[in-house]
Amino acid sequence: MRQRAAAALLDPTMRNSVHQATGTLRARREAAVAELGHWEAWRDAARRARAHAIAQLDHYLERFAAQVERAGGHVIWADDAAQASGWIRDFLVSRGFGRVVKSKSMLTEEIGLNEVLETAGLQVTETDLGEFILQLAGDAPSHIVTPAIHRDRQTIIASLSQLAGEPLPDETAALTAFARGVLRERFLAAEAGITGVNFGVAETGSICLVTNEGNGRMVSTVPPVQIAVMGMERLVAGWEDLGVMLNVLARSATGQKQTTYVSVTTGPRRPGEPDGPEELYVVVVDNGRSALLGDPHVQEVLHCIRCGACLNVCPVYREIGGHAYGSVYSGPIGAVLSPLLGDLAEHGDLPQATSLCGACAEACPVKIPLHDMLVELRDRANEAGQTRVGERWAFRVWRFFFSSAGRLRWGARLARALLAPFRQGDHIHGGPEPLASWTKTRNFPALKSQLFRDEWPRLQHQLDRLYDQYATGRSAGEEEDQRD
Amino acid sequence: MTDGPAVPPAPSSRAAFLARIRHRFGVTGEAAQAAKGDQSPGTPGGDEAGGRGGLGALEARSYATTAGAEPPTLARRFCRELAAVSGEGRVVEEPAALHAALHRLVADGEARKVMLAEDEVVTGCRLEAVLAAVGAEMVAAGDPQAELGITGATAAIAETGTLVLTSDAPWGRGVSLLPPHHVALVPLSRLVSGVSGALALLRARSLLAAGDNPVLLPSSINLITGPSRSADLAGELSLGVHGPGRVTVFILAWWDEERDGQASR
Repeated sequence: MRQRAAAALLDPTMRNSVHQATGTLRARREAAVAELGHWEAWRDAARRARAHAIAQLDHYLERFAAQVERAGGHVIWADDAAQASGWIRDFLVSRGFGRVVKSKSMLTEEIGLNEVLETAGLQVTETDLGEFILQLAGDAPSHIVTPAIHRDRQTIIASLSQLAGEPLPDETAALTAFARGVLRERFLAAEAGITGVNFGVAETGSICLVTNEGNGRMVSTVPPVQIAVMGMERLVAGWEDLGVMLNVLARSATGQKQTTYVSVTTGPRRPGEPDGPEELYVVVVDNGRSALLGDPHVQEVLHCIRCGACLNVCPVYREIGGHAYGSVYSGPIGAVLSPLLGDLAEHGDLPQATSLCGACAEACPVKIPLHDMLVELRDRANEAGQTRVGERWAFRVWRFFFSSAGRLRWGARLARALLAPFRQGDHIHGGPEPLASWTKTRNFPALKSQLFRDEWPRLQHQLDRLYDQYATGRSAGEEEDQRD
Repeated sequence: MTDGPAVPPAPSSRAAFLARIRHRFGVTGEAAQAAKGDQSPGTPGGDEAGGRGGLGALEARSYATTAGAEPPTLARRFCRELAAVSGEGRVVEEPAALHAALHRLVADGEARKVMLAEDEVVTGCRLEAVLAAVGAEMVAAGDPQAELGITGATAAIAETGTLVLTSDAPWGRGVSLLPPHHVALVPLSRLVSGVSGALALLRARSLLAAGDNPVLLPSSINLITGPSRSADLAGELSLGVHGPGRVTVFILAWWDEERDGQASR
């Protein structure tokens, strides 16, 4: 993580792109939220809807599955990534399918689906424009909602031009038209479509997809078979809960009042309908999620609706971008979710890469206390003995000096003496490690020659005098008032 | 589920999957001991934060401008919101005005191949003669060459400029999706204020359609808010990425649902 972050900080193109895009998304979100009004009440309603479904997930999954089947769909249960990807591969291969189109889905990134399918010789086309650009460039998404946020215009034009076999003009309309043409052919040729699921509705057995480009709509309309891959926590209980989520999702994600296309699918095409998939499979994926249930400190992370608002407000994400997190989910939600879903050892350093400022929790439309969870995960890493030796010692030293007034006074004098050689004016410059790591890039104010605690007796005296004056003045004033 | 084609064996089972969840709740279930049931907290009957009446009441407070408003107010709001997301919406007072507008739209544009979804509104507006007069060619639904798709709509949401299309109508899914230009004809009476009204309407329609199967919704419901858009080209707005790049909505002020579209005046 340290190395990735350091490398990211040296990539001005990426930082510029991410900074601009997250800044725009953030400002738009604030405007859309203000326009709706009663935002706290909406957050409460959204949080309640999610909490209710998650607290009774067994019940609602059972009901959801029964309703999907009643509508003519099939439900496949997958315990982990290998089962989910494996089943989809086996299904496509057993049908003799060679070409599939996909709409944007973070879960399929999480379970490594594309790799599994491509190894089996299938042509997989990502149809979200951003994902398509990344697929052409052999790159990975770096944001939950806007996957190609780290790419600038020139690299995008280069990728598309390479596919076209000729240089494409630097015009948005022409580039869009080219991509539309290529992807339209892929849609029409595809034998199956793979989508994610934004929300599953237990009451009706519906799956809801939201996309701005219409890729979700195309993938669930044009190919004869639709496979929807759903994280087991995506459910809401009732049909009207969906309305609550739709009112907060788009506003939080992109600052739109509504996403361009909200597509709700209940079973496959029915007799007499002119188009739509003839078969629908919903693959319900656990992959580590069930282990978070019943754990009061972290269960709420399953309430997440993947809007990306926490990424756009995070001072760390905005500097280092998504790839530095080294996991499918980035930003504050990634720093919580990745260590919990995967290996604590592999992603255990992510909760450290945060400032605990709480901007994420403020932005979260379902009020997940992300910063509390980050502290909890740090605590768990500590309990598991994952703290580094230097850090352990630093805190021992800190405890030694700060647990007694005498030692603290003595320690301050000692520190002043030790730091004296590096002092320039009011600041410390250079110095040996680990001090140098800080002073290289940040200000380190020097200790004042007169410490606050040494001055306190004099200050207290002054304060008392001021207070007496104030109190006397006030009572004098009151007397005057009474005279009137 | 034995009637469909063969599928590979299931990797896990519903029983094992749900048992794992119940085990988690059973072991350290502090977070999860609410009473089991289907009451959904964000919805009607919901409590404090949603206010009495749940989603609808919350929307009524939030959408102060059009909650409970008369249809003409809803129509104005709809057109304004649609314009804000690069769509075009206008109220037409009589069939002749619609015909003139469509005439211009086809004659000015390059749209020669037109897909018509023949529901009662589109049929009732008698568009074929108008379109034929400007040289438009009618193509079958699903024709990839179609340049213009004309549909009705199940409802329209004023607060967001959103069309509601369901697949149980003759327009299916493709007419409003595949051509680069989508035109929708919406009777004034079908406008609702917010998304809660649209969802309630859809539920009510399903109840009417199949009494013994009360919550079986149409196989596909699409809420469509303006043209297809993307910001994936380095943040630059591009329209018409997959869905139509142009969306035009005509709100039919004369349409009377009770009299099959004849003006009630």
